[in-house]
Amino acid sequence: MRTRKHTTPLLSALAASMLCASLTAAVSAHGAFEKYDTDGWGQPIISVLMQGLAHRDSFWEPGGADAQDNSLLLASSQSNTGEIPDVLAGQREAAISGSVSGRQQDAGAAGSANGSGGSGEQHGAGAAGSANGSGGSGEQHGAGATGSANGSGGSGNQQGPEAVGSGGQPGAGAAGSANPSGTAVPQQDSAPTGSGNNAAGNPGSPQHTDAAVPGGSSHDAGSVVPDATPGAEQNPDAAAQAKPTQYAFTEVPREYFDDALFIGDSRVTGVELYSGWDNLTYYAEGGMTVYSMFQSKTAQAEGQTLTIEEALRKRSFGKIYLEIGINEMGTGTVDSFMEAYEAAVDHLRELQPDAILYVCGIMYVEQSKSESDPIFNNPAIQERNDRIAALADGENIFYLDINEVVTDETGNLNPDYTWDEVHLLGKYDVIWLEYFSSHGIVKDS
Amino acid sequence: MGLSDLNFIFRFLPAFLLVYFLCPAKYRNVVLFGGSIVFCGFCSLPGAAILLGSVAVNYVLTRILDCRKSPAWRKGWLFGAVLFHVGLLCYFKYKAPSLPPGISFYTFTLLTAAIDVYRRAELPPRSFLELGAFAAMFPKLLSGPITAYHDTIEQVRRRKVTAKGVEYGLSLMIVGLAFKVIIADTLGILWHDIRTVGFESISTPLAWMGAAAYSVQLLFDFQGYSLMAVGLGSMLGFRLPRNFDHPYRALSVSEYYRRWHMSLGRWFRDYLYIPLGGSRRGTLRTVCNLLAVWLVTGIWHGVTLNFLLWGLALGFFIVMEKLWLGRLLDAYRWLAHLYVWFLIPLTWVIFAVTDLESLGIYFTRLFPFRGGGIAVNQRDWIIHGKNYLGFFLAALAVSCPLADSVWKRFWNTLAAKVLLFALFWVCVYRIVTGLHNPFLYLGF
Repeated sequence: MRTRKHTTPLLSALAASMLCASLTAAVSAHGAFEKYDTDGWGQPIISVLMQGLAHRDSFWEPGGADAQDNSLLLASSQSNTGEIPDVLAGQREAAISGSVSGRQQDAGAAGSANGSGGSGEQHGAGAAGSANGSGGSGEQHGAGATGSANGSGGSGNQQGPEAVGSGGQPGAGAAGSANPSGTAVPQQDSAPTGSGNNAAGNPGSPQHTDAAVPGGSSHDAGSVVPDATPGAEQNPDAAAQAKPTQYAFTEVPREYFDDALFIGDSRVTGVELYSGWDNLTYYAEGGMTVYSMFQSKTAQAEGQTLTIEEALRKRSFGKIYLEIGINEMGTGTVDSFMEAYEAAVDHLRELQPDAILYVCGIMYVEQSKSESDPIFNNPAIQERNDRIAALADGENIFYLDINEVVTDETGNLNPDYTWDEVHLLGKYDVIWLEYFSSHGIVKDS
Repeated sequence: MGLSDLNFIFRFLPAFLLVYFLCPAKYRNVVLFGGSIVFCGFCSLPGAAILLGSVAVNYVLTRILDCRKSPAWRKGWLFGAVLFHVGLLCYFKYKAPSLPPGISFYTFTLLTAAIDVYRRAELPPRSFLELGAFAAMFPKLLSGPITAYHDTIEQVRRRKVTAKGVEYGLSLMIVGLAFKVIIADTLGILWHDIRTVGFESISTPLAWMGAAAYSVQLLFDFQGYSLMAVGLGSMLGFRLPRNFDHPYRALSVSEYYRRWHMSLGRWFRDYLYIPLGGSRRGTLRTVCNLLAVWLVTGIWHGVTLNFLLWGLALGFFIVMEKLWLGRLLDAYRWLAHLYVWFLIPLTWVIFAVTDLESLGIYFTRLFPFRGGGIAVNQRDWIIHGKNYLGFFLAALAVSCPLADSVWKRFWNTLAAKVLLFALFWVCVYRIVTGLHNPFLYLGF
């Protein structure tokens, strides 16, 4: 069929199909197709047509320029379905619960009467403030009223006040009396969640004197000293006696990683390619998300490429490092993310019950990005990190926060370390593994 | 709003075409000029005002230049016109925080009007509208092709929209979109990845792959845009000049640039090189003229040192070719191909990396004679190669002479239309999923 004088078949066909698409989009903007779960079809265009448009300012505009740009940066094919408002709402919510828990935390901390004095001595005042604290969520701190302070700290350090609202000194108020570290006090207010590494709070406790950085593992010491009164001198050995199986971070040699697995997104592919450490196993893929992690076909085993699920059923590891979460920022809420994250952690534990599981906080982005991006910004990242940190149990699951070593004085990702504001340059990827080396858990068995 | 923007494809263009086609022929310039201003306004409101102002000043100047005064008087006014347009361009390019959309391109377009009228090569525009439609028409507003006044003004006055022209234009537009969205943007990710890793850490093969990726990306990005512009022009009844003629088939750098961004090259030839004396005033003068043209070309692209370096490097090789290298290249075709394929990607690296320190690092990775490199993974090129080989091959396939003849013969068949239809939706899919960038040449 050739174009004749007055026929324009291509134009007509295109015009008709575009009209249909635009009509579908316009109808979907009113939520007509929301009941169909089209995300599961794995076809973003269908999702966009059928439901994604409802949240957009304008049909056909995927997210907005920034979001679009980001999805490219992160090599993620997910369409950002305009859920920024949800994310922001989630942030506000959490901020409120955070402040509530912060107050509770004061009380709880009073109960446990831990100070960061111990860590202060170890690390200098500034580091003390930052190394402890953060982590833990509002829910957990309900327990603070009973006098326990669930710790899972180790993040949010070296940052200024705008630094993602972490770095608090839990228990510092109470600890003030027992705590020689005065710097803890001003930070207290900024602590949204505040929980600390209580073990580190026991001055003189032998358990942590050799810990490279306090915080990181969570020590449920509150229950140990339920009757402690504010300002009371703490029995330095109480925590250690009550929880003999709690572990502290220590320096480990490179061989430690011979049976280690590092799972994660594009940031881990960078480590795989450019750290120069090849004794680890890496299951990493750009754009990997916690939602589809186990189905990711990235595992090389016995000359085949398997999904992570299959590979973990075939081979067992001594340590598993999980670094994931940045690609998920644009979709869902913190709660929906954490639901998937917790499920993934549970599933990992189920598949590899003997492995030490390290959950890694999401690495920050550079300041200019953080300040201009509605999705990929450090407050939002820290909000998720706080929740990830809370998963640490001090026995099998440990929280590691790379941000301790890659941030600059503003508390954002050091601009010298990155070109695209999100990923480390190849020459700095080894920082991950050096950090892991200084934060190893060794269980005597 | 660029030409690969969904808002353009799904909203502006259908609405514009509907009005344009339904409107009687004599009002189509009104629709075209009005539509173009609206288009520009969507990109940037101040930009639209600057465009209107620029056209208005140019209109007055062309009227003045047309009058029968003494040559010196007219020369003075021409000088004023050039000063105004170049000054405006320089201000926005090098001083102002943001570049108004298309100013580099429509400034050159408007200058041709003033110069052509001064030369009495063409009558001045009969109306403001005519000049506006010529200079601001949205298909070529943002990134050319830069059409000369004497070539295009007749079409502004009289043109015919035909069904075949519309179909042909639409087909070209889809091909251009696919060049941009499928080939250029995908290879752009490779270049982006290389930047993300950092030049220090890439292996030498990857450095070369990166140079190739950027070169192909730039070609398909800009060629894709130009095809879209020509296609849109054809839908509106224009025959806009092609901007690319398979540059990588060239046998020398000078030929490469007769095939690359042809409208800019022609502009520099007609309005700078030849007025300076061209090649008719002895070797030394020719060399100076060539270097001057390439210096200006470099500056036109940007003020950072690398663009200057890029322009001068090209000027140097073109002068060499003119002096003695050309004879060697003429004698050995294979050598000429190797020379172009080796040299041109290197010049694009200079073009791409605006920071001289990084540029130096990149070149030490390309030529690792003195070692260097930090945390280099020697096998990284294999990993990337697997991902991008298909796109390199696709770029090669559509650039070969066979592709031309296939296109010429089959573009108007049903099979081609079905394929183009599918291709269009594949492109839309990729745009929706966010796997694409804005056009590179919008930055110039």
